[in-house]
Amino acid sequence: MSDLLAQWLRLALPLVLATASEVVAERAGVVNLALEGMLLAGALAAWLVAAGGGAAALGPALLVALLTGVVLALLLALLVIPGRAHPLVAGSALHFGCLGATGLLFERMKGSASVTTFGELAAPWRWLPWIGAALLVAATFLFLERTRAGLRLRAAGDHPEALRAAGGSPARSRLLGLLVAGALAGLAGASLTTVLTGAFVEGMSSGRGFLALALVLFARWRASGALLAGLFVAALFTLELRLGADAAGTHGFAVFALRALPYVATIAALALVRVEPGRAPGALNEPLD
Amino acid sequence: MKRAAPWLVALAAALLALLLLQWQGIAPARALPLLAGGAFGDANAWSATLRIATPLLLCAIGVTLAFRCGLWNIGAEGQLLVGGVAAAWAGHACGHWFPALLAGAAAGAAWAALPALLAVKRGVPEVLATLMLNGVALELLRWLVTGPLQEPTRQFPQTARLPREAWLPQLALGRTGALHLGLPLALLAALAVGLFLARTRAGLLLRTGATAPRLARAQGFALDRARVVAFAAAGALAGLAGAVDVAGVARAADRSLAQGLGYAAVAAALLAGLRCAWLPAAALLLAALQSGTSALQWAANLPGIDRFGLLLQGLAIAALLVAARFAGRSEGGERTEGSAAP
Repeated sequence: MSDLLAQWLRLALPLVLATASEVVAERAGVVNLALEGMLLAGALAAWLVAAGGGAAALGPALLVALLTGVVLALLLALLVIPGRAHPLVAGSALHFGCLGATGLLFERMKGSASVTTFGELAAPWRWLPWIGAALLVAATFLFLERTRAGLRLRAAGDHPEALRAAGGSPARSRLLGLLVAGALAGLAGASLTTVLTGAFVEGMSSGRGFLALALVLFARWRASGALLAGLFVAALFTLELRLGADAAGTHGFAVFALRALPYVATIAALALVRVEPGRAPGALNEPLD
Repeated sequence: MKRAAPWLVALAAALLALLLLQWQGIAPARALPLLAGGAFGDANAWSATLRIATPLLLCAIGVTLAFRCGLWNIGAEGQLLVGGVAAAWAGHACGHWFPALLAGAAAGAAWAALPALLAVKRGVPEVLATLMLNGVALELLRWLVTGPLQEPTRQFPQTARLPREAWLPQLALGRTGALHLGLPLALLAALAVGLFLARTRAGLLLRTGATAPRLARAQGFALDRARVVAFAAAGALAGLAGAVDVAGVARAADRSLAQGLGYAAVAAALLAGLRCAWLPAAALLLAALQSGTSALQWAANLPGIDRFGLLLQGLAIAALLVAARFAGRSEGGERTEGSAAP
């Protein structure tokens, strides 16, 4: 039972952080389609730093993954804000870039050294990722809903012209939102290598970044919702893995049905829980004048 | 300065690409001819390029059609997959290529109609439903090619090989080249969709509905129904893309079908500014980048250089974006307002 719980929490970690990242980006008015690529980049960065370094390398690994996400987000922001590119096109460009770059780098630096995962550490430290993630989500919530900078950021996503009329800079707020989103995405990626597996595998984010784009709707563009949405879908994945392990060795329709379950359940949930269009940021993906 | 900017950006992107190549251990002087030769050098190179460009163009037309109607179709990948499998099944069962194409288009249309209906009836954002259905389609393919539709010897995870009568007629490049009936079909489809959007009443009202749904409905236009039909047509085009690849080149469906073509189609559609006339050029460019880099990989015997193609693709899109910005053209054509965000 505790085994099941641990697996559930492990699977929830990247989903919660990635969804929180996308919440911030979308509240600032930019859909980050490169989230999947950023997860991969964060995972690779953490792996490169932490591999073979034991527990002491975990801290620097998280930091480097965070910075990797921030740099990638800065690239996206440059294309979208001064470059006035459509965020979805710019995001897909960055996604392809990340996909190619991580594959290429991994091919070059392949090694057998593995990462010491947080799960292998002693009692207080092994809980660090979850305590950290909870604090990050809480901080993101407070930042968005309770601070002046957060208010400006939300205005940049909802009514940029109103923000400008009030003397604020929508461009600066969107940049800030993307950088925060990049940091969270980098950490979400790092959690794949330092918590889930201890190794890097090409394409290991396996659609989680795209899934987070859907979870933002469940989360209703709130950081608190990101926590619930991530936990919900992670429960589906845990179920899938458990049932899949029971069905191991058998092929056929049951395996297909299990693998398709998280996707189908997400669609079904979206169809049942009606999302009011009014909740989405008003100026999502609209260029600034 | 302003006029020179796009060229400077393109130059910078090219320089960056060459630096990356140098880092990979290939001198640029050697890489460029290999890259260009791999994309357009001879009949084989053209065949490799067209093999990607033809289905890519078909998918991109569908994506464009949906976008211009204000619907985000990120599901071309899944629609292509089900289209390819359906074509493999029908081509084998009927022994002719025509039912294969028909089945592919029908399967793609059905796969797209579901998210369109959910969007219209239940307000499910189609961008998410299509994305999720891509995952389902991939799992479905994996199951079918190891289960009900596996080839008779049951050794390989693929469908039975199509009989010769079910192969698409070849136009040139020999009997196994990739210049088959699919290319004229795709060009015809681009023309038809372009004309439909620009010249017909339904096309006009659908485009109006993308930005001003109330205005379109006020004309007595059944917007929701038209949107579902347009989205299904987009799916049919993507399904056809899978069908022409299976019946034209691959001869059987397996897991290597698609491989990101559906996502590249979104990039191609946006690169073309959602204009049907520009779609063939955009598809050809992205296809040439892919075939050129994979040729480079073979010639230089470098593992991992195919990822370089992805990197290059990202770089090319980014460069074109910035170039388009400086050229004063609004990338993405008219802005599409999806039925719901994002």
